[in-house]
Amino acid sequence: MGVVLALVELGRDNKVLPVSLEALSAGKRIAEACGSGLTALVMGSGVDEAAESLRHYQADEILVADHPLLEHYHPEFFAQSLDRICRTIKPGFLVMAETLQTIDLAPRVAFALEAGLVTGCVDLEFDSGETLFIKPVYSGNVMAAYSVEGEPRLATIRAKSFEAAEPGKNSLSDIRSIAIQLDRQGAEIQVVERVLNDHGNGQGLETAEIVVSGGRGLGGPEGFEVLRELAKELGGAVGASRPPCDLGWIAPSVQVGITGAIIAPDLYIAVGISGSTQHVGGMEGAKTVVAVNEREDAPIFKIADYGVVDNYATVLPAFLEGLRQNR
Amino acid sequence: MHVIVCMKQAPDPEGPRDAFFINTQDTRVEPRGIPPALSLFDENALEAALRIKDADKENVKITVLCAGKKVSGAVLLKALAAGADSAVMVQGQGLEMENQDSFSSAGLLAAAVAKIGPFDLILTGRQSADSNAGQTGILLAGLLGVPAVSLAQKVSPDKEHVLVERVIQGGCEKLKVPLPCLAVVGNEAGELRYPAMKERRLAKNKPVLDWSMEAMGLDVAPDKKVVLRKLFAPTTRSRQCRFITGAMLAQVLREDQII
Repeated sequence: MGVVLALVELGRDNKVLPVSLEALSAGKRIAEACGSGLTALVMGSGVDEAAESLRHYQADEILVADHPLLEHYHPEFFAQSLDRICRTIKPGFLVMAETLQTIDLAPRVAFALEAGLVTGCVDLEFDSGETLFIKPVYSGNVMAAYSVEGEPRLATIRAKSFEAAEPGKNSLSDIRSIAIQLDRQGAEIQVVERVLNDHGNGQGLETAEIVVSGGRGLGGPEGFEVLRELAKELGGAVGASRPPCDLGWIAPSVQVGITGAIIAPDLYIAVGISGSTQHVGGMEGAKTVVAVNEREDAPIFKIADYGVVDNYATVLPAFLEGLRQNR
Repeated sequence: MHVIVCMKQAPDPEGPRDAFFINTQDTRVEPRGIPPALSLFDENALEAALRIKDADKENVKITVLCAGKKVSGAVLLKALAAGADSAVMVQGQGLEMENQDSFSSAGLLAAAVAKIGPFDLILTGRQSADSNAGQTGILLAGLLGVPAVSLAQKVSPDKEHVLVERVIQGGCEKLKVPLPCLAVVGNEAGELRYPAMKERRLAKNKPVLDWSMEAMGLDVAPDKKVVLRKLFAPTTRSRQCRFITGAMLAQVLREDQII
C-alpha cells in the first residue's frame, strides 16, 4: 500500500490554508487505519516557508514541487504536476481540501490517473480493511458511503468536517523536493486577466468561522452595507440566500445554499432569510445559528438556536452597538 | 455555432427531506411525491448557452442532452421552452445515480455527443442534484479530448476561442480557450429564464430524439471506480430556538460564549 498523499493548498500569501490542515488530519486518519505513511505535498512557486511551517505536523515527509509556472493556480499546470507526482510516488490515497481550486483540479487528476474520486467527503469509515468515504448526496437530503476501486483513491474533504491537524512536539518531518517539468507552450488554457474584488485575501465563505448572511428581507443592496459592517465587526464573511443574488443585490459567488456554498461555520447569522430548503441545505451544519426575521413563523427559526423577531434595520444597529460595548 | 448543454434530471432537491425515501436493502433512494426537475446547476448552464444565443440568434444552435433511466418529457419541455433548439434523450435501465459513477456518466455522454455530431461548445452544470459529485464535465472533456474550464460564470465565444470568466477565491479570472471546448457552469451564471406561454407552445414542436442505451451499444452496468456501498439519513441536530431582543443579542451570545 502506497502512502497517503495530502495536497496542502496555499493562499495567495503563500501560507498554508487552514482548511488544508483539516485535509491533512483526514489523511492522517486514513494513514493510521491503513498502516501507511502520510506525505504532505506543497505545490507552488517560492514555497519553502510554507513547507517549513508544516514540519511540526504529523506528516512523515513533506514533498515540495516548486516551479515558477505554479505561482498561481493554472488548471493544466497543476493537473500535469500532480499527475506526474502521483505516477512517481504511487500513493495509495490522494486527499485534498474541497476548495474552488480542487473543485477544478481533483477531477482533472482523476481523469489523468484514471482514478476514482469522491468529492466533498465529510467523514470516513473503515470497514474490514476498506476505506469508506462519506458524503452528502441529493443535496444533503441523504448521506452516502462510497468505496473506491484501484489506486490512488482520490477524495476531497469538505471544510469543517475534520478537526484541523495540530502541530506536535515530536521530530520534524523531512522535506524533499521533487522536480517538475512544465512547458508554458503546452497549455491550451490561457489566463488573460485576474480580477480580485477584495484585495485578494478576503475570507472565503467555506472556511470562515463566522458568516453573516442576508436574504430577501433586507429589501435591497443597501441592507448588505449594514451586513458588511456587522461581518467586519465580528471578523466574519458575508453570505446571502438565493433571492438577493438573483436580484443582483450582491455577487452570486456569496450564495449559501444547495446551489451555492455549503458551509458549516461556528456561527451563522441569518438576517431577513425565511429558511427555504435551498438555503437550509447550505448552512444547517453550522454550530450555532442566529436568525433575525420579521415574521415569527419563518421556517428559519425552526433550525435556529437564537431568534430575534424584528426588522433587521432595528436589530442590526442594536446588535452592533452591543458588540462595541464592553469589548 | 453548435452548443450542447448536458442536463440531468433528478428529484427536486428542494422537496421535503422525508420525500427522499432511503431503501437501505437495495441501496437506492426512492423519491416519494416529488417530481423530477432539471439539476439546478444545469439550468445555469442552459442559461449561459441562451445568453450566447441572445447575442447571435441566427447562428447559435443549442442542443440539450439529457440522460437518465427515464427522462421526463415535461422537464425536457422546460429546457426547450426556455430556448433550446432541440433535445436528445438517452434512456436506459440502470442509468441511475446509484448505479453509475462519474466516469460511466461521462462515457455515456461522450458516446451521445459523438452521435450528435460536430460541436463548438459543451456546457455542463457544476454538479448534479443527486450524486453531487461535480466531476462529469471535466471527465467528459477529457474523453472528448477538448480543453475544459470549470466554475464558469460567463461564457463568451468568438469564432475560434471562448472567453470564460471563472470564479476564484475573492474574485474571478478570465481564461481564453480554443474551440471546441467544454465549460462547467456555476450558479454565478444566472437563473434560467422563465419562458412565455408562446414559447411553451412552440417548444412542443421542437425536435426531440430518443436514444436507448441498447441501441447505442452501451453497457448499462459498466465497471465503476467509485462504488456506492450504503445510504443513510443525515443526522439533524435538534435546535431549540431561544427568542430574544436585538438589544440583548450581543450580551446573550457573549454569555453563552458563542462570540
